[in-house]
Amino acid sequence: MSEKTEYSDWEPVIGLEIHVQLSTESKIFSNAPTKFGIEQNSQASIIDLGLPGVLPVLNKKAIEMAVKFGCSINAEISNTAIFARKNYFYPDLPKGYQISQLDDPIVGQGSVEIECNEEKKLIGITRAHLEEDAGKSIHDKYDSSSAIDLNRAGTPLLEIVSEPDLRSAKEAVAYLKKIHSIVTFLDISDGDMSQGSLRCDANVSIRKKGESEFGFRTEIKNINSFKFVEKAINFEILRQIKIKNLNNEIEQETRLYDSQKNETRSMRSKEHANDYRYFPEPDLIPLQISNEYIENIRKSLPELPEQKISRFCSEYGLSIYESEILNSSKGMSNFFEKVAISVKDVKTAVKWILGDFSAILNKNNCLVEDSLISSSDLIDLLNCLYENKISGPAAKKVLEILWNEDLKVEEIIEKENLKQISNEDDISRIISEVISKNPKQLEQFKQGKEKLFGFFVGQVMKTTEGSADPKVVNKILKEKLNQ
Amino acid sequence: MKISEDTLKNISLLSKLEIEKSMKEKISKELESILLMVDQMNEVDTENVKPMSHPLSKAQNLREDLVSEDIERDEYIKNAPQSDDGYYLSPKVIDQK
Repeated sequence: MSEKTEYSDWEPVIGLEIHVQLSTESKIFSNAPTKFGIEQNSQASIIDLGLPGVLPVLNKKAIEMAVKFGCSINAEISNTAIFARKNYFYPDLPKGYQISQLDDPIVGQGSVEIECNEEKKLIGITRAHLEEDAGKSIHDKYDSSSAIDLNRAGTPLLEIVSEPDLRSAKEAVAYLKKIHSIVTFLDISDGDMSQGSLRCDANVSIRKKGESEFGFRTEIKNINSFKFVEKAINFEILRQIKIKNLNNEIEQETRLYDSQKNETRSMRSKEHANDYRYFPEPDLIPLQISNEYIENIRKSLPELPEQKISRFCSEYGLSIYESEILNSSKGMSNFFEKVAISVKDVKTAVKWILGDFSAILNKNNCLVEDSLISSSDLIDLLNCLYENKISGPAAKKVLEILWNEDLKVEEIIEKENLKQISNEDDISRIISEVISKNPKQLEQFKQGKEKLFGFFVGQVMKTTEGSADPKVVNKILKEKLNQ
Repeated sequence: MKISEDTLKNISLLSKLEIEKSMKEKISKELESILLMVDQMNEVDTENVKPMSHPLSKAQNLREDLVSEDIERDEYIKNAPQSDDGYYLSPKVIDQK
């Protein structure tokens, strides 16, 4: 049996647990800052360190952000959410427990719609709960010690748990992207996976097609990019199929994804299974969230990606495809709209933003938020193009220079001599000169050597150093040569 | 309720406390008596009682999202048995959680 047919007998069942760092200024239980990448332990307060006698005080903003998310996935919001202690021992968890939620999480059941292979599908969300992030352990800095940096300890996390509704790695990626776009459009997280602002664990099992029982599942940890989610899950599905086809059983365990080797491997501790001994957090009283508070948040939700996609189509005449790409991130969506409202021709703007502008961002591995070309620069450039002040190729050159140098569009056009000659009288005069300088070629052309048309275009371009509007040149040259 | 050898071992692992052999029987007995006391509560009929998560019936006090903590890392780190270059040091942990 080939691998392909073996694969087709099985159906993967996947659920994701997504940890989203909420973009509050201060931590969930202390008023220490939550910045990324600053000096070790310089934002770990006595509460984050779990020194004796300290008490957690809950951050209002974290609640608001969790409720926003709940409203946007049409979930029940708990009126009486409670916190719980999840006990485990690890050096980057100074208290010996993580404050999390077990019963009565702040966000209950909801759902999101995803699209995969042009099919729409509703994915259930079991719950989303608030908890605190742990610190970081660095194992390779010292030979015989682990170095502990507790800056991240206490950063608010929203853990979003999906139902096991996903049936392929592709669907899992589509779902993850959906959650990413919701949290970034809501402005409750920066969603930066490379900095760990959004992290994902995948629960994967397989079953024979047509079966209703679930198989034993494994949990894959440490997947930190969209690309790796797909690779890690696909690796794990194949691994499980191979085991099952040898009539062996899948072990229920936690596995770590190694992106360099593209494999998952067991990280089961030999000693004994985790026993978190959850109990209600005695230091925090149950929350009281009023329906009025929830309704106010529901009413003030910002425009979500789906709404933006359809509005861009109707307002700016985009295709659904274009609108989806432009709304794939909040940064791009905002950038496009800034350009679209000030530019004279939106169609060209779409073409340039999706084409050359995105290419420059990709080449420089840069997010649109950090673009060295501002929206107003791009507007200037597109308007020059629209008014035929510069040609398409010249505009590309200006775009490159805009990225590399701190100059305005007009300055670059001037400096690089890129101004396009589109005035018919000027071009007509230049063409007459070119023709009179090349009588032999004119003669040959008239005798039927039509290929020489290109020669004349070339000569005009040479004379004008490429600044003549090719459309106008073609038009006038045709007239003159056929006189 | 009897505390088995395995249960005692598990409790000792979870609490990171080593129980000396000679103490095992004594500690088992003490734990059993604690469980016996807790068991008495099971005699109460709680059929229609909503579980209580906290004895106080007040609402949670919330904090504004403001940064105001003065972090005195160098003071705090003095409490650590081992530190270097602003890091807390722990025995090497290879197991990932």
